[in-house]
Amino acid sequence: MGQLISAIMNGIATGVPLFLVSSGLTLIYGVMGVLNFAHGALFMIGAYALATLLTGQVTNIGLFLLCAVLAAAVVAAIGMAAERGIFSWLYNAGHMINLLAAYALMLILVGLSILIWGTKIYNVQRPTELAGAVDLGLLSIPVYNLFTIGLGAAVAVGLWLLISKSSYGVKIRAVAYDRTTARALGVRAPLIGMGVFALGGALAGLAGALTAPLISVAPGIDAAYALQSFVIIIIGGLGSIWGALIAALAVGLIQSFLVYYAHDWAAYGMYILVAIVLLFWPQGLFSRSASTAH
Amino acid sequence: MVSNATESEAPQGAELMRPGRSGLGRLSGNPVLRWIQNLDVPIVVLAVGLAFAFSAGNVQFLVATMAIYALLAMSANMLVGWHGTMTFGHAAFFGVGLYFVALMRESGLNPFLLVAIAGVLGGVVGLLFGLLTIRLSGIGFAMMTLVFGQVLYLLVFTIPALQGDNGIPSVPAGKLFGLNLSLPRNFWWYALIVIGICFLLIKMVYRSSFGRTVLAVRDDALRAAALGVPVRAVRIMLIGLSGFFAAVAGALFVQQQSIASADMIYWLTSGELVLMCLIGGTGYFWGPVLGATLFVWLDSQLFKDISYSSLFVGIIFLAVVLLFRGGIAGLPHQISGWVRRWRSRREAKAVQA
Repeated sequence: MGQLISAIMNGIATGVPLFLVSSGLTLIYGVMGVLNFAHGALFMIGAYALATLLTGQVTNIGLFLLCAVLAAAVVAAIGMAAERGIFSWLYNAGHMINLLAAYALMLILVGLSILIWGTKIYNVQRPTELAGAVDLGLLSIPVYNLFTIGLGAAVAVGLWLLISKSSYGVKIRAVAYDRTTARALGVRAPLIGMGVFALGGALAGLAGALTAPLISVAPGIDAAYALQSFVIIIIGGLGSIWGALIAALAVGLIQSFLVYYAHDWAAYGMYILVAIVLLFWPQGLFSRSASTAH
Repeated sequence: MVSNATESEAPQGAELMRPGRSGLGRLSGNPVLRWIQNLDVPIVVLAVGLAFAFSAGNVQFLVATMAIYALLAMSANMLVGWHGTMTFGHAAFFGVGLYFVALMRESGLNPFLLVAIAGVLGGVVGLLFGLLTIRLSGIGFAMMTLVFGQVLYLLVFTIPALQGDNGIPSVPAGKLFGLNLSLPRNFWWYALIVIGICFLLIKMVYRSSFGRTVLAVRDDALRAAALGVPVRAVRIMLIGLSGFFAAVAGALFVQQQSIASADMIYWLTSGELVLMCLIGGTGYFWGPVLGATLFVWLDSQLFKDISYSSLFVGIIFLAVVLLFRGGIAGLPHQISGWVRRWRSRREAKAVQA
């Protein structure tokens, strides 16, 4: 029983950063039609930025959060610059050209981060308040996992408010639905494009910062997380944020369960899941052909 | 509209490719003349073979590596360029050849035979993958190739005999007619013959009615289907063929490098293949060869001591995507287009004056 609950909690905590990365990825695809191959690199830069800001020190939770937000802001700026410099020139070029441009951006960002941070391993310490574990008798849950889950829930609610309730969200959905008509009706599409890339970048950067204390920050984490988030948005349906949420949690849970109960197969979990989903629902689980994808 | 995007994607993908020169209409009637159009393959292969016949061993080794990558890129281009679908799992087919020959290292079979069996295995894996992904197209298909490639990558770590990151070392190149193929000079001619035959076969497929059908599906899948082309069967066949040649390249690669290891089939390797195709020019038969040659040269010579070399590769690739979508092979066409536009503008000015 204790093991089961541990597996579930671990799975959700694994799923949260995956949700943050893939929600940005799916948002950018849904609104801009760009399958952003560079998203893993943005994640990695978020993690590196936090490691640089904290310089290996143990901090309190306030400073940690502040640095995480700063890291996310740096990555958001990169996302915005990429939109202005590359993707704004390619709006009418089709999905495949955009995908290839994103691949080129990924190579450039990976090269730049090796230039800046080198190939050594950075370790980030958890803030003091979050270092321990909550002891529940049968099982103990790391406090950092609870923090991650809470933050993920807050971001999910924030995203929902932004997309569904704010006037900016209405404009985002309008551009996603029909770019030309939205522009004709006075929506400033370039602002939406920059905003979406900044938001996607911020989410990826935040995910990187949030994951940094749990992993060794080194070259290669970009490819691993890019891969997982691709799988997630395929399962969830390209362009669907809520699909990404469900799929990220599903992938997190299945990996966690496999780690606990069938360790040798843990790495295959998400691939088996995506293969099954694609066999029966080639468009993913929550393909929203009318509302967010275009 | 995600649901419709899948159908309408083929023409979008095709934007990348120039249709390719075709004097075919005029010559296609006469079988002799039709054969002459395949002669560029033996001429190029023979010329390259003689040009490096007496070079130093390390040069021959490098050029042979380039040629193997050229074959691999050509096989990837059968999907990327001919069919207009992106693939991010092509290294998996390469891996089939790689690991088959590595596992057969103590069999002592004829190297030609090993390469042929590896090719057939790659073809079978390709057909199976084609069958599994029959309902997908566009980005969904591209992502499934990624998944497929990664599953094969993971298998290398799961199956103990494949030895994961350590790889399978000291695979012998084998002996052919008493010649030791591990010497660069002997391997050079052996590889060139195998690759030359493969190029010729690919060219024949390209110019066959099947090849034309593939191009028709790329340009307008809906119209091709309306004309009675079995669109899905065509793609399955094409993936099978492409898998065959990729596995042949893998078999040659392990015979040359004498090691098979997991990082050779990671998804970033597959991505590099797409880069090679695009940098060379996907719409031209020799495009991937140019791209692979340049890429291997950059990677192994120019950027060999630079850890952040992907920065430069990325910039080159971005320039190709933004400015030179025809790739290297498309440059003459693009430049002549610029010259023509520049001339007509000048003439227009002259008329005004």
